[in-house]
Amino acid sequence: MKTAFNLDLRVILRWILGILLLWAALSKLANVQEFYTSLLAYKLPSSPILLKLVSIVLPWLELLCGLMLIASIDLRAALLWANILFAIFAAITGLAWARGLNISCGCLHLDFLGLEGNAMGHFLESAAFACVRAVILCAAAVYLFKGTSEKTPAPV
Amino acid sequence: LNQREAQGCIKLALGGRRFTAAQYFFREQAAVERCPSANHRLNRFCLPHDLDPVTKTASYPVRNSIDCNFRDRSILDMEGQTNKAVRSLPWRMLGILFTAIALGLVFNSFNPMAPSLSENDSDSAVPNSVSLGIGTIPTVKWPGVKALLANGGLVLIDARSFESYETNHIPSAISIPAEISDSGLNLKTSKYSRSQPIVVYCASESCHLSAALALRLRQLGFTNVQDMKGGLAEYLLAEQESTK
Repeated sequence: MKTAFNLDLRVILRWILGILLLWAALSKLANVQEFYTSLLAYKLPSSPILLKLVSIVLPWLELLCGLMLIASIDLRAALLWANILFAIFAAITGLAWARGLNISCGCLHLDFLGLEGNAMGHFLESAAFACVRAVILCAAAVYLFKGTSEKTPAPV
Repeated sequence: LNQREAQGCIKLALGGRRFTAAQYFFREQAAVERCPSANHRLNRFCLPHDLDPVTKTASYPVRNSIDCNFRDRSILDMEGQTNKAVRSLPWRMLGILFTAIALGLVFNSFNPMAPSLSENDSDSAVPNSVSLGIGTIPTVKWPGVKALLANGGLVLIDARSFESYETNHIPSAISIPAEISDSGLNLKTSKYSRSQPIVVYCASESCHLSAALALRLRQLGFTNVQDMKGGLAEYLLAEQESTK
């Protein structure tokens, strides 16, 4: 049975996803070069030009998805993009974790929280935590996507 | 207003196969202005609550059409067209992607600190000096820096912010952010002789912090200062190549 709680949970989850995507996007847009070097640190088997393109486009994709989720605009498209993005993040950070790469995930800037550089900051930026976080967010995005049909009105 | 005219008004109201909420209301208004007597009938068909709040597109209000003068074959056909008007999900996703690409490219073209798509960090065609208008700094590539590091005696300086340095840096590099004060720079470099070989780097080819810091070091009297133009990106790419 659909209850008010269910609807509220969806709204809360959608807002959390939206805010996290916005935070991630703004963190990357604040220093695109740093994000590019973070991508290089993953040692992915891809050309530098492709990584540059990703570093240029990905923050904007996150920004658009985050705004659409918060503003409840075309939720299915935004949620499907969020699913894809989180799944890719989970795969890449999981790969880095499995390979034992001691890198910063380059996901979120924590300096305004005063965590940059300390042990907690290192943990939150680690590939392992980023992987777990991406898996949880991906699951949340799948849950929201499955509950959002083309005709279902979305609670604001 | 006969049935044919009314259908024309509704067609005008609905417009093409695809329309957004804003277009919908605009077209509806246009139809009402052209055919004032159709207002009542249009409202039967084009109520705002018939807009899908998720897709922001209009769904044809079947429930109101029962008592309607226009309940005929053509209107039912129109209903089918309107249902098709909801753009498919892949197209909407592509729209988001293309918007992101366009925004990214525009932002990148106006952001001097963004990585340039036309530059290749591992390209050998990097000029062997960089001119800042008030001085020229010789440049060096990672293999040269690696050799100097192996020989010992080279000071490798990361000119990015300390937070960036903490996130990732070339092993054995020290952090001296380019925005450091003159007194801070003096303090940090006071233990080195003026002939000490120094290489400065920042994030990548597009980053000019390293050249700026190298020039300041030259102005302090250091005679053997070089700029690793490819920066951390060049190092990471080179290391990636070497591990293949």
